[in-house]
Amino acid sequence: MLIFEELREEFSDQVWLQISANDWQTASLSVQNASNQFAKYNAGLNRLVANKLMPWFQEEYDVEAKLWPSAEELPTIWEFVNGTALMLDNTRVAIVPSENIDIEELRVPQEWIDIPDWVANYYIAVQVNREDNWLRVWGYATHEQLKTNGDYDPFTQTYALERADVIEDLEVMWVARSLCPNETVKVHPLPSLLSHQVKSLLSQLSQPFPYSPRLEVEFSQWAALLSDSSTRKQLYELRSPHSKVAEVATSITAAFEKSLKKLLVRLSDLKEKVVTGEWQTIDQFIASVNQAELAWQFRQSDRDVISPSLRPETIHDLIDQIYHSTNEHQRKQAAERLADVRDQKEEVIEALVYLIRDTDNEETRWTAAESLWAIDPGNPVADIRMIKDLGMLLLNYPVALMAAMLEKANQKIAVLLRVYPLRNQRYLPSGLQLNVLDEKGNQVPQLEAEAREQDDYIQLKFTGDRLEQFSVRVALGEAEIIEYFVI
Amino acid sequence: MLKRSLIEKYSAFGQVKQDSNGLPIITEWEQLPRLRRSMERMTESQPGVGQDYWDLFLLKKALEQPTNQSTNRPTEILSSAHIMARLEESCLFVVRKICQDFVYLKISPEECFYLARAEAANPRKLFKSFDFHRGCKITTYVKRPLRNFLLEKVRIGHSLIKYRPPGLLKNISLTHLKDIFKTTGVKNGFTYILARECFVEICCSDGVQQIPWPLDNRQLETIAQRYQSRLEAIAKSDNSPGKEYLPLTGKQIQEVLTELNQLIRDSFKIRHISRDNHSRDNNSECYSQLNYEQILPDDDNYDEEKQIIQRERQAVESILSDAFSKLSQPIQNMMILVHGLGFGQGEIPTVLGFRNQSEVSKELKKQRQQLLKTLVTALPQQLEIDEPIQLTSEQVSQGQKEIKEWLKKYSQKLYSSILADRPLNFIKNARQQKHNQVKSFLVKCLRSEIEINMDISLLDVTLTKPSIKKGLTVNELIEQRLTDFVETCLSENPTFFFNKQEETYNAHF
Repeated sequence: MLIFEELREEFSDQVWLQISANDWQTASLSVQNASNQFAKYNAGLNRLVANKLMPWFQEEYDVEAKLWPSAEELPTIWEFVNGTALMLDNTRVAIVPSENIDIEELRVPQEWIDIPDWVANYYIAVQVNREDNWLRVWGYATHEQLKTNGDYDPFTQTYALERADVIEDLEVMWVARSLCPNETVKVHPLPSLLSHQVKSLLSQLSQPFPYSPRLEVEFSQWAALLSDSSTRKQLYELRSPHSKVAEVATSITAAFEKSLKKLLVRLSDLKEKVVTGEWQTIDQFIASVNQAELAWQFRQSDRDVISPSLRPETIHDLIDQIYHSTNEHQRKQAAERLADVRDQKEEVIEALVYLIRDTDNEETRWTAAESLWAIDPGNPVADIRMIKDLGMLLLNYPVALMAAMLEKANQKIAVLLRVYPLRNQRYLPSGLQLNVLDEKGNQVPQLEAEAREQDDYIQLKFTGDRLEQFSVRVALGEAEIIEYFVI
Repeated sequence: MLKRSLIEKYSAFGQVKQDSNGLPIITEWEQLPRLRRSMERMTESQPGVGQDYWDLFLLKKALEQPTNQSTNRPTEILSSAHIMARLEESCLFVVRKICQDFVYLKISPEECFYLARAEAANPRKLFKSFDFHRGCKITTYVKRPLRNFLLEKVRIGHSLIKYRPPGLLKNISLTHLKDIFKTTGVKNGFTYILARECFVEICCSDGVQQIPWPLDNRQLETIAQRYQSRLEAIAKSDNSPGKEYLPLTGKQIQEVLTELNQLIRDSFKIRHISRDNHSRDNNSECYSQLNYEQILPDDDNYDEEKQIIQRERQAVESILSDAFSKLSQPIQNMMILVHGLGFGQGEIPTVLGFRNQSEVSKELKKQRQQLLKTLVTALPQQLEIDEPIQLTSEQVSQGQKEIKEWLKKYSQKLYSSILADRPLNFIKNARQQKHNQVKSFLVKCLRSEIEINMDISLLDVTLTKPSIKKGLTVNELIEQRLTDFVETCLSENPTFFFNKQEETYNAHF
C-alpha cells in the first residue's frame, strides 16, 4: 500500500495536498443552492479544490489567487460546468478537478476553451481521491495545447490531452507566464441571442434535469447563453430550489392548516401551452365550469346583450382617436368602447395592438388588452393570460385569480393580477386583500388592493423585468393563499 | 545477468525469478528467432554502428505514425518488439528498485516485472515525451516514466478493491476506456461509452455509494430512455457514429455496463506479455508479411543530426555550468543533494541549516526558475539564432527537464568520479568481493566526500527525530539516499569502478 508521503515523494513534481473531513464539510456546506445532486456534487468538488489551492498559491508563490468571475458568480457556473477559474495577478488559470481513478487525460469542458470570455491561459489538472483523502495537481496545459493538439470529443463536448502531453511540473507555468505570456489561440465569437431565443432556451433548460443541461442544445447557443452572466444567473435561479420553496398557508379553519407547496408558475409558459395542473387558460377555464357559476365579469354573452352594437362611423372615430389623440384618457375610453364591436374587427384589432404597444399608461394598455381579449381572444399580443380557481379556501368564499402579461416596447413586462368571485357570487367578500410580494416575500409598496362592498373584482397592475420572481397573496381575515410566479 | 551481444540486446527476453532477498532476477535469456534474424540482417547492413544508434533508430521506427497501415504496421510492430527486448534490463532495474523501496507492495516481484514488461510493450505511450535531440539514452530515459507507470498501476490496483462497479464505471477516464477497447479489440466501444455516460448522468449525481448493483429496473429504463435520446441527438449531427447504433433495452444496458466493469478491472490486472505472447498474438500475421527491407536504416542525415544535437548539448551545458557556478555554495550544495543525490526536501534543513522544509522548497523553486529563465533566454544566443523565438510552455518545460537532468548528471559525475578514484586501493580483486561490502565501502566514501566538499556533517544532526517516511530517522533516510546513489552508479556503469584495474565486475543487477 502506498501511503500519502510515499506518493508525494515519488511524484515530487506534482503538488500533493491532504484533505480533512472538515475540508469536505466546508465545501459541501457552501453549495447548498445548487439545483440538483449533480450540481451539488460538482460545486462541492470545485469548491473543495479552490479552497485548498488558493492558500497554496499564496504560500508557495506569494500570489493572491482570486476566484473568477467572483466568488458570488462561480456557483452559477458550477451548476452546469466542471472547472474553477482563478486569477493569479493577470494570469487566468482554470482548475479542472476529476475523481477519476487514473490520470491518463486532462479533460476540459468545451465552455472553458471556446467561450471567448472564459478562455484561460492555463488549465490545471487536479485528481481528487475521496477514499484516501488527498488531491494532487498532476500537470497543466495551455489553451493553445488544448485547442490545437487536444482531442475534441463532440459527444461529451470536451477537449482532452493525454497525460504525456500535459506538462507535469507546475513550476514551469510560473516561468512561462513571463517568457511566453500569450499561449492562447483565437476562438470563434459566439452568436448573439435574440430575446425570444433566450426565453426559449431558458424555458427548455430550466427543466429539472438530474444532470447538467449543457448537452441539451447546440453548443454555440448554449455557450452564448452561458457566457452572458445575466442569462446564466437567470437560468441558475430558475433551477434553484429556493425559487420553488413552499410557503406555508395558514388558516383558522381546518382546511388552511395544511402546508401548501406551490410550484413556481412561469407566466410565459402559457404561451407555449405548457401550463398544467390548476392553472388554465381562460378558454379552458370557461369550458371547464358551469356557465351559471361564472361571475358576471366573465360572461361575454351578457356583454353582447347589454352593449349596443357600434355604428361604422363611430368605430372609425374611435380608431382615429387611438391613433391620433394626445389625450390618454380619450384613447383609453376609445379602447374600452371598441370591446363591443362586431364588425370591422381587423381594423379594430390592429388599432388595439397599436395602442398596447404605443401607450405609456398602464391603465390604457390593459383596457386595450381587455378589449382585445373580448374581440380576438387568441391574439398573440395579449395571449398570455391564465386563471386559477382558488376554490373555497378563503373562508368558503369561491374566488379565482387571473394573471396576465404583456410585452412592452422597452423589454419590460406589464403584469395584471385580478381576483374574481365565482360560483354565482356577484361580488367579492368585503375585506378580501390582494398583495404582491417580492422574491423574498416582502410586501411591494403600493401593490396592494382590498375589496369593498359590491366590488366585482379587484386588481393590481405593475411592470417587471423578464425572469423576475414575485408572489401573490390573496387573503381574507386570517386565511391566505400564496401563489408564486416568474415573469 | 546481463545481455552480452548486440543481437541479444534486441532479441532476447529474460526468465524472471525471485532471489533470496525477495528481488527479481533474470536467470536466463532466450532469443526470439524472428527478432534475432531481423537484428542480424540489420547489423549486416550497417556494420560498425553501436547500440546507441540502434536504440534511436528502432525507437523512431516504433513511434512512426503509420500513414498507410498495411505497409507501416509491420515495421512498427517489429521495431516495438526490438525495443521491448532492449528494455528488459531496464524493466528489471526499475522493478528491483521499487521492490527495495516499497516492501509492502502486496505484489510479487515477478508480477511487478510483468507489469513493467507490459508497459515496455507500448513504446508509443512510454516514449511519447522522449526528445531524440536531448541525447539521452533510451534505457536511462525510460526508468523514470516506467517507475511512474508502475507505481500508478500499483496504486490503482490497491484502490480497485474499494470500488464497487458503479464507482469504477464513473471514475475512469475516457482515454483509458478507449485504450481498453483498442487493446482488447472491442469493436462496439461507442455503445459502452454511451451507456456509461448515460449511467453516470442518471445514477451518479448523488455519489455512488447508494447505487444498487445490479441497477434496479426503474434506473435501467431511465438510462435506456436517455441512451435513446442521446442517440437521436447524435444522429442529427453529421458524421456521427450514433447513426450506426440501435437503442438498448434496460436489460441490455445492464449487460453492457457489467461487461464494461469487467473490462476495466481486467485492464489493471497483470498482463503477461512474454516473448511467447508477443510472437503468438495477433501481430504474427504482420511478422509473416514483413519485408525486412522496410526497417533497414534509410539514408537519413544521421551524422548531420548528431552534430546538431552535440552542438545543442554543448550549449546547454555551457550555459548551465556557468549559471550554476554563480550560485552560492550553500545553494549549490542543496541542489546537488536534492537533484543529484536524491535527498528529500525534508532532509535538507537538518543537514544544511535551513529553517524548515518550506524554506527549502521555496529556495529550490526560486533557483530552478532562475536557471530556467537563464537557459531558455541564453540558448538561442549561444546557438547564434538571430530570429526572435516565440517560446511555448512545452519548450520551457523541456528546458526544465534539461536542468534537472543536467543537475543530476553534474552531481553524479562529480561524486561517481570521486568514488571511482577511491576504491582503487581497496578492491584489488573485485571478483572476490561481496557486492554488499563493496557497496557499503562506497557509501562511506561518498559520505566522507560530501562532508568534505560541502563542509557539512551528515551525522551531526537530530538523530533521534523520526521521519514520517517508512518510520526511518533522518539519518537512516540519508544513508538510504547515499546507498541508492551508489547503486545507481554501479548499475548504470558496472565496469566504471574497475576499468583502471582492468577488472570486470558483474554487478549482478
